Amino acid sequence: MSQIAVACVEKRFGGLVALKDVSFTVQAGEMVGLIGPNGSGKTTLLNVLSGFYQPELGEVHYDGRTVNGLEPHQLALAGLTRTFQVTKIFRRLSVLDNLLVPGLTEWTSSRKTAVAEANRILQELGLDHLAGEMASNLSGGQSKLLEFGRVMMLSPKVILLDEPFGGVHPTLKTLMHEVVRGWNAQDITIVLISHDMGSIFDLCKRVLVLHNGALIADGPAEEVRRSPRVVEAYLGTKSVRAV
Amino acid sequence: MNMPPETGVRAAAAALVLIFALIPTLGLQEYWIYILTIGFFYAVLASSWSLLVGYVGRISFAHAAMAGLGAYTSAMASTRLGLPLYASIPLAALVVGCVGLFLGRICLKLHGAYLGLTTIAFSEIFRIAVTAEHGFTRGSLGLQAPGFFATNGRAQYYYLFFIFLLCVLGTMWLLLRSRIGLYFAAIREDEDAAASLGVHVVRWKVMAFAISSMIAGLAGAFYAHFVQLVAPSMMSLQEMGLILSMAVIGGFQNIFFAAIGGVFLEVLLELMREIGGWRMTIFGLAVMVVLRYAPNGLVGELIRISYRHVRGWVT
Repeated sequence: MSQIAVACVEKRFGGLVALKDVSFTVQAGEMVGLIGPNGSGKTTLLNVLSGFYQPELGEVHYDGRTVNGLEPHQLALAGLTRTFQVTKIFRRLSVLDNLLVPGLTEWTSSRKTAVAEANRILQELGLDHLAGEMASNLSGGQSKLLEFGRVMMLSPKVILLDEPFGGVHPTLKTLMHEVVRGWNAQDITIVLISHDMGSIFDLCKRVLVLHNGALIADGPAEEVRRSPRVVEAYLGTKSVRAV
Repeated sequence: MNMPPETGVRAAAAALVLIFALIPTLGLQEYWIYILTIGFFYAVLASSWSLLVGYVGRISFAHAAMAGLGAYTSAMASTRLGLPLYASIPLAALVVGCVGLFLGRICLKLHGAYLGLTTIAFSEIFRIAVTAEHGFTRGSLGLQAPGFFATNGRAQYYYLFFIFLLCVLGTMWLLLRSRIGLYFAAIREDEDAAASLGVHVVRWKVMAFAISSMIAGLAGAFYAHFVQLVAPSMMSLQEMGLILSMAVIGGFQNIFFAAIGGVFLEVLLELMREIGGWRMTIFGLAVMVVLRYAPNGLVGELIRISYRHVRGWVT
């Protein structure tokens, strides 16, 4: 059974059609790359999947049920969570408290267990020495790791990553790759948006390509990389002819 | 001695509580005991306003109106329905909490200026309705309310309001230290991020409005049975401006700082009585200066400077 199924989704902003007739499925435990030029609708699609936008047409299924109309927090508690293109850490909370927010969203969760889990995750990410630090004092890369840590607190089934490697130091990027691979090894489904093609082709076996709101390619990474439609979408018709 | 700064702040807070507890025994004029009692009332309003604004990031200019609603509800429940105060005051808190829930719900999608203007509109509609409705509220003549005690002993009311203030601050502190406080802070920092991590943003934004309003209503009800006359003027925008000034000058990002601001400004208001209406102008200017140069308020700034000096002495 597919973990995510998107069927004929359309999303409009006034006269602008941001997504048109987008359909695809993602199997449980799969890691899928989502690429496309700027303004192609990648983040809009992620917003639709995570409940921040409701599609005008079409249906989104998660774990076999239709999730149209569900709020982001409902999806998060059901195991579908995300990170953001522009890092959205809670700057005036400590690093530990940033992790405790998702750790305490279930009324049944105990604070003691949540703190223990948060400390374990911080240690795994190499942020344990910063647990008591205000999040505003973290570097850009550390903030991205903190976002990773927060989604881990939800024990998710699906993680949607929006440009997680943007502006990150290569050493830290390697660590983040390892973390993402580790999630995938635990059968967590991942949809990864990135302009960093190295990361996409390094991590994902399958790639989806959006262009002007439409899905123009969906297949194995190597196949998509060589697709003339994809090259054209990225470089433009004239450039492709010249090449 | 190398004392952690937090210990110093706790010691100062304990000393402050002790001083306030001893004030009526120090031979202070009854008039000033009365002023301090009013100061405690404003401290509850300023701190509950800061709970909403400083901790959840939602602005409201309806706080004075909520206090007024609480005052009128308890006064009417006790005089018209004959309810004892131990029933009329909780009833007032409940009614205002429900109104806060309703206002919070209709303001849910509003932010910044739109939210502020909507709460001003609510506040003014309520004040004008109470003023116009002579038959029910006695309009601007004011509505009489029974007192808490048979005698009007200033010290009795002083301690009642002091204990009330401590209870409210203690309850808010516990709330903010709980997971609910964490949700509030997450919403203030970033609503989308909070929602993506499972926080029910809508529920907690509305609850914050309701809790803050309920405390204001409770304070209003206490006030009604202290001054024993409730008038629409307690819901005026000038009153709201005063509450705002107290919270901002004390430090609206901390309920305790805002509470200190409440008592401090009420005392200052009396000390500056001779200059009349100019007091509000001065307070308005002070708010602007504090917002620009000391966003944590004067109490926050004082603590920050003290930390720096203590660190300087230690090193």
